[in-house]
Amino acid sequence: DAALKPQKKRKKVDEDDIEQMQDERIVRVRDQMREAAMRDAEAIKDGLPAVHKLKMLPEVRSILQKHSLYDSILDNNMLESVRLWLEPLPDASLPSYSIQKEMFAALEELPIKTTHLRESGVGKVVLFYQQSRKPEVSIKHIAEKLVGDWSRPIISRNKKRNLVVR
Amino acid sequence: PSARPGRISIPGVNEEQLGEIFEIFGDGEEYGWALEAEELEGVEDYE
Repeated sequence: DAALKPQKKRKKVDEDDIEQMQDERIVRVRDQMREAAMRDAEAIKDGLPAVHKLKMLPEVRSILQKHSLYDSILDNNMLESVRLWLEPLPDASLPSYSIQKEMFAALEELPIKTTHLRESGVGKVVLFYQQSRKPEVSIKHIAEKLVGDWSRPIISRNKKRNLVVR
Repeated sequence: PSARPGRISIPGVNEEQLGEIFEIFGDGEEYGWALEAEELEGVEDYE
């Protein structure tokens, strides 16, 4: 029994280490995404091609597709950088379709709660995609579904309360 | 942003909920400039 104890402790430490390493990776990528979005906006203002987000996209995609990272992605507000990647550029153009596709695919998959939406502001840019005429139909449909999914818990709360009162 | 009674009301949605919805989705002003630019460009719907 005594021989097992140190092993259990080591395992816990390993799990904590892995979690910390994951958090550090997410924070680093989140900050790099923010930087890439700013650099693309500057490039457009200077009449240059916006390539910084596209260059980073494979790394971002690989993170957003890992279920094991979902908690860390949400806890470390990577959604804020997703918002920045989806924002219209200074010339009112949208980011490339591949960026839109990956970001919206992630938004559909992640277990996003109201608190994450409040923190990140990502709902504002998703509403913009629902209103804008520029996105492709498939993207607009996802935006519309997300707005519905995210507002439903707030609206249904009142209905539930009314049912209890009655 | 807080709820704006008098400006917008949705049946079955109280002021507190409206405030939460504004907080999450904004009041439509955040990217209004891009939507206005679309109007000027004459962008048409995909559908």
